Amino acid sequence: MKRKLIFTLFFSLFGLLSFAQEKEENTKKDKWKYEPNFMVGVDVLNTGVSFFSDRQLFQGFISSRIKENIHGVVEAGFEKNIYQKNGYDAQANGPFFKLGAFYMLAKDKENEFNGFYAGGKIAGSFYNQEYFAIPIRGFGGNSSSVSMPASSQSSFWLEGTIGGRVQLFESNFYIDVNMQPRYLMITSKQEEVVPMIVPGFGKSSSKFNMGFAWNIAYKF
Amino acid sequence: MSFLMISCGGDDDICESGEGTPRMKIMFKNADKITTLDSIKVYVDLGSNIVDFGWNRTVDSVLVPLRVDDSPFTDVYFKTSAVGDSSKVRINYTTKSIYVSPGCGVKRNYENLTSELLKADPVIQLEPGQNFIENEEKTNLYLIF
Repeated sequence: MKRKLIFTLFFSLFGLLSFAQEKEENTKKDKWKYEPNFMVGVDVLNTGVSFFSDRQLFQGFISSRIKENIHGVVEAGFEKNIYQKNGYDAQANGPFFKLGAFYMLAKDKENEFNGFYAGGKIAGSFYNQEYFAIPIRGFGGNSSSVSMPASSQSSFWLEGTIGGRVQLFESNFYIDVNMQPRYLMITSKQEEVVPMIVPGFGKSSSKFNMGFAWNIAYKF
Repeated sequence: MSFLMISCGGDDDICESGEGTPRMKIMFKNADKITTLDSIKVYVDLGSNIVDFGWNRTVDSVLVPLRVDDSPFTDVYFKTSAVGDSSKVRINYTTKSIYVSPGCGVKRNYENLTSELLKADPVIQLEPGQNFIENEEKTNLYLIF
């Protein structure tokens, strides 16, 4: 746990430094027209944390500037996670996909890919789950559990995205950091049991959750 | 930026009372009439250990938890005075598992309740009530003193 925290701290400090490098300069404004442009990113923070944690999360994105301030984004990932708490023992793993767009709220005049943005995505996860134990609670420390066989399930949610993107020096590399507030819209259920974890969404016993991504991206 | 790293969560779901496994309601009779007891102590054999649920003073009923594991019966002991003997009652049933919520997990309901008095004194006889437990409202068993 401690190693995981240090790892997270390292990245947050690194992020601070990177943002500090932003400069503001005035340049002329041109009429916008779409030219093929892509940025491909990989979430290095969660990939790194996966080595120290039961939660293994690998995710990446492809984004493209569609209009002047609007970027489209497609994300995909894979998560494997366990839930062992309050008498539960469960595991889930599977891929997830997200599709959405964001709006550049504030951008660097010199490089219009630098800036802060906000937007939204729809997301879906198609996963396998197995519940080894679901608690049965009784009085006086009287408890037991039931299990469910492995099954395939799917969940869908809405996700906000609030973040920033900054060019690394003069290279084609960018750092893209964003927060992902999530709201679980619909989920399939096995024997009416609400899933405790959903790959890509996280802990799902409540409908709200917050995700985080720290990406290294390359702009083509 | 660091504050962004604090993960939001709080998945410690609370199970509100009344949503869990219902207990068995037991009332008392004396010469065919419902009566209150000055004192009664209930012990339940939960399989792993016998749990003492303490003295109840001047009560007309007690709520007794049954085992939630796969055992087809629960042994319950009743005592009405500190120095006296205790009666042993075996309650047989079939169970049904019902999912409640993430916090509560699964609860048990009991069906086909039958009770046998394995050891008399102070209880003389048993009289069955409602033979299933879905909530704690109806009386499932009468102890006759």
